[in-house]
Amino acid sequence: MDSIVECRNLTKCFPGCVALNSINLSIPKGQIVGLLGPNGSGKSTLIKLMNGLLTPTAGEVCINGMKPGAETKKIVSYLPERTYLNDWMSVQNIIDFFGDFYADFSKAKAYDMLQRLHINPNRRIKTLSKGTKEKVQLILVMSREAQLYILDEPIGGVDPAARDYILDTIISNYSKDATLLISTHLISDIEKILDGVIFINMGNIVLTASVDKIREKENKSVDEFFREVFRC
Amino acid sequence: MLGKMMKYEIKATQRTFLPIYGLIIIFALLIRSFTQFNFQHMSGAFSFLMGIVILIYVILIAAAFIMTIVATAKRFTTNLLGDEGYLSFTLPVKIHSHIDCKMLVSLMWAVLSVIVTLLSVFVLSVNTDFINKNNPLFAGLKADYSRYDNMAYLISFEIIVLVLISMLCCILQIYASATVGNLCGKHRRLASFGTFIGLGIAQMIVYSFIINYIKNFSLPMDEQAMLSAMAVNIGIAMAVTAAFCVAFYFLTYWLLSRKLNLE
Repeated sequence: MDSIVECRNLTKCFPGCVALNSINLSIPKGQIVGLLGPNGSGKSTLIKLMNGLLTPTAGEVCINGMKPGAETKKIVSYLPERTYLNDWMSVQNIIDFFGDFYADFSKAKAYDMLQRLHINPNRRIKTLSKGTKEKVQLILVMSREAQLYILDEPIGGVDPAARDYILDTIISNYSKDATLLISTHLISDIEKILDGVIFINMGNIVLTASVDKIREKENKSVDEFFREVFRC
Repeated sequence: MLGKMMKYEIKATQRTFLPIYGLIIIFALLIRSFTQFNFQHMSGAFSFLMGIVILIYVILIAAAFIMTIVATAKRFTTNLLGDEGYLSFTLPVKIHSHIDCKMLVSLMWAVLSVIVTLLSVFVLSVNTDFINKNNPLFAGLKADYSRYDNMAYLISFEIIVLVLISMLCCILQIYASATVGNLCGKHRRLASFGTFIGLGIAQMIVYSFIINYIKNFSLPMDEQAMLSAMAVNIGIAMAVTAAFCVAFYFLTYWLLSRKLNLE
């Protein structure tokens, strides 16, 4: 099976700690994969390396066979765990911005999702609450026809009532041959949509498996199995 | 892509500069209209008001130049090295385009600050006597240019280019310092400031070596030869400053492409 992400001996060290310890990983195309691990396990570091926001200390990461760069950014739609929106823009401005830079961005899709989430496109980003900003970011990311969606904590900041809607938004808006990599702590909320999982802890890949295999072999849900593996 | 990036960069920064430029022109017009009154009949309150208006005008001009430097540093650090960097660096553009875009827009505001300041001085001082063709200032300039012919035009051109390259050098020195500072964990601002001072000292050392070298040549007494020597010296200054621009640009590029570490 073709891989969309390939990590070879990928290592990232920060002063005083090894965030990723020579990991080897392959993420196949066309799947929804959960990147799961406790706080500080290396999830965000791995995701940032895939997006070229960090540079590896050793080893390499390839997206569709290419090192992170302008070409990979055309096919990756990334939702970071923090707010990256420019305060001076309105929601409409940021939609125009995405339309200008990403050839695969659909403005119609973005406006449709805004309307369904009752977000006024004329509002200044500065005036939006943190949760609404996260929803706007998710709309921007999911309005692209990307080959790889990387979502870092997509439901962490939104209320439980909106989570199902957001998960539905994610599922109904990604193209079926695309790959979705979702990093989160809230496993029970997302496990129903996952095809496979990657467990990561202290910079090492602990397990890669399909959700069905975990259920069959361990006779547990992913959430229960995660709690067992990472018990404190 | 560069055009699109510059469009958004101008939109993001114009809110800082356009109001200051507008106020500079308005205050220049205010001062000019005040000076139309006869000073001898001015009351104390009127003189005080006039003093305040002149003070604000001077502060606004200083603010335009300070803001050019502050906005250059702030846009680079927030939009590339801060949270907004998560969006900027995931746009499908090359690292060169990020630097080129910010550099060109900062240079544009620096040049506009100079033009607006000159325009406001023009508004303050120009009257029908000044525009008059017989103004001794124009006559003197015209005489000098015709006397020294091509050399005067060459030196004028060189000075304008040198000013532009020097502005560019300052902008790129800020970018290189901010990028080096970004590598230094907790004390990023302090490290950026220290790097800026260090790079400034390095420039001073190189310039002082060159000045010492030039000093060894005896100054020609002939006016025309002196102008030629001046043109050559300005040319050397241009080349050295341009070399610093290239060095700062590639240091920034290398660090952003090979050592980028967004928190």
